[in-house]
Amino acid sequence: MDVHKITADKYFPKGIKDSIPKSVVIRRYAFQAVFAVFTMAFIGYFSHQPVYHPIDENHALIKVSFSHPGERKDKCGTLTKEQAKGMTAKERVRSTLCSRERVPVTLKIDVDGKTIYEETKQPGGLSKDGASLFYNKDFVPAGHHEITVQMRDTERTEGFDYEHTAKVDLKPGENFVIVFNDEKGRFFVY
Amino acid sequence: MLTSIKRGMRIPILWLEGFFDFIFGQRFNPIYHLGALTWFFYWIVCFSGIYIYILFDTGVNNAHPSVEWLTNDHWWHAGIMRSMHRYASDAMVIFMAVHMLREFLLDRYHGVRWFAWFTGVPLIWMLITSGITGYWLVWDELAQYMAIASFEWLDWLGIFSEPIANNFLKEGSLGDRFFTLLIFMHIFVPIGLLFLMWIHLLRLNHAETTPPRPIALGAFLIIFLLSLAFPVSSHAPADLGKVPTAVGLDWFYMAGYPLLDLLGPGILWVFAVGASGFIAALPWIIPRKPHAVAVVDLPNCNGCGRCFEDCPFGAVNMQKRTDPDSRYDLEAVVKESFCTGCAICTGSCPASTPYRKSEELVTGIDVADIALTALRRKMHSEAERLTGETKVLVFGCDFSWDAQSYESDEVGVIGAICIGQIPPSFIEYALNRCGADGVFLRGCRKGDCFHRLGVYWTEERLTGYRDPYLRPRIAREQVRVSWAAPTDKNRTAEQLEEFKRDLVEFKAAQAAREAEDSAAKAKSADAAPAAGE
Repeated sequence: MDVHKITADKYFPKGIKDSIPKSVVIRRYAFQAVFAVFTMAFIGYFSHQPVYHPIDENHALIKVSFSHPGERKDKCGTLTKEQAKGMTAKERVRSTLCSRERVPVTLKIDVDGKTIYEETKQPGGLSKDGASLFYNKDFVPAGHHEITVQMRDTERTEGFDYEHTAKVDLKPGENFVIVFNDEKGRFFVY
Repeated sequence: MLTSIKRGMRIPILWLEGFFDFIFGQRFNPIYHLGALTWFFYWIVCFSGIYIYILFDTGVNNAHPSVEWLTNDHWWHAGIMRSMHRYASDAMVIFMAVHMLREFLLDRYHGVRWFAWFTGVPLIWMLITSGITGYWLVWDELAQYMAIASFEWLDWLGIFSEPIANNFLKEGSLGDRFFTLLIFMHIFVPIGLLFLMWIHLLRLNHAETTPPRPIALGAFLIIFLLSLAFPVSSHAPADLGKVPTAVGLDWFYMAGYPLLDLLGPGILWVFAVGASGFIAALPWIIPRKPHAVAVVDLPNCNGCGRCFEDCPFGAVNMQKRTDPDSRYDLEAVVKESFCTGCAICTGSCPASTPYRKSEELVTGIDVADIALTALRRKMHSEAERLTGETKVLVFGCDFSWDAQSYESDEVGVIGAICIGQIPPSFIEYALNRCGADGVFLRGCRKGDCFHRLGVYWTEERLTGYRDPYLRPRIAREQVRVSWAAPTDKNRTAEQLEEFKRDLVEFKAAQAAREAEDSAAKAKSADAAPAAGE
């Protein structure tokens, strides 16, 4: 007997494949169709529904995003002759270098006189010599607002070094952006 | 607690699988091919993606118009392809999630099987990233919302000198160069996904990456018909001067975005990384009881390589013979860290024959948990115990049933690690030497073998497609198989009863045939002297 020509069904008429009545076959096809429709509906619906509202329709976004380095923490200075006495040329150069560390930068945003954001950011970098990064989002009701943004980047503890005020009419869903331009040394709003 | 949850959920899963068995038949039950279906959807995504990429304009200002053009003006080919691209991607997430849940509930992630489980976790991240990067390319309001939210989430880590989200600050911020970077991400992340999918299967022998043709056809039709019935559309073009107020999220990929808005980036990072770490560590958090591994007995190994071919987990390798006097070239060697101790190798070994006369039955490769000699001993003791009219010996794997409940004066039960552990010669031995009238094999549902391939190999051995096969001279009426889960206990009992009834008929028919033969012989013997006279 050539065993390779023997099919499973022939060998095990009852064990491997039962003879299936026609009514069962019809029921199977019906269930298969139901399963297919359910799968299609499930994928089709959740691939774009339910709709998500990231923001209330009558609100606008005030976004602030910029990086700005604070003032250097230590002032640069030159050595007196007495201080430089006994130093090698290299040591003299090194000791006249300023400290790399910068002061933290504080940012404050007021909307209609009410503070919605105030944060002090440390300078970036392992030696704290980088810029302070600001990225913040606040949602406010659409309409007329007076927005004041203030920033402190020196060692002073009171008051601010930069300030900008804008009277705006924010539309629903508007993206209002505040940035600071280092080259021009002032805030810009879009 | 996790173990209790798992056990509680296992029964409904097995019932559901049983229902699907009824609908599709065991061979074409899609639940048994979830991993292969995920692969299949990947290829649909790939081919449809390449197709629409050819028609896609990669400039930031041209991306949305080109997507609209291919969706609306060329809906009959490119639009359908776009929809198939989307829906097949969604199907990938669904099938991957169900695949993972099922492997967890059915305990198929423990011990040496940790590798596939562990590498599956980064696959989730890669798949979600692949999908999200694809949505950016449409550059509509949804893409705008997702891109900004995604990069805000990344920026929270503080690893970039400038926030990446600044690229989306206002109209004109986003340049073609950055948009090209997004396109490259959507090409290279899916390639990385494919690479990881390959790694995912590295420790599996005969891994199934293609579903059976009818299932593949059905899956393709579902995606195709869905694309025809509900073609995918875009949102309004992205406008960085505005914030999208309503977005139709693809929840299969984007369920994390509302969470990001709700919890904030920090908590979402903790949640995502924590959950991933927890899932990846599950094989060690819920350890499984230790098991023995296969051991090669060199004097009994002829280096035929059947165990190497049959091992479902690639735990057996062939190497040059280490015993110098041997007349064989190769020998099997077991990688213990890959071996699940399923003993399918024992069932494939030509030396695994119970006809040997030695007290201790030693074969070429064996697993100590239920060694072959213990199986033969149990077969003898069970056969001797049977006093009923119809004697049936049942071989069953430990994972598919509660063996003891079937024992009676007519039924003897021999438990094995996996049904694939039983060499066909044991069936023959049970019938010829142990006095059994029939042999009943009970294994896991076909396609759902706990050790992956035990049921397949057993069927192939019984039907003569795989060595070692059941000899043709064995009457097939005396052998019956039942591939079932623990929830099919009653069905198996019915099949066993039916088998016993059939055996009674078979024995009666056999006795009648023998009586006819002997009568014919006697008649011819009587006729011969008469002819001589």
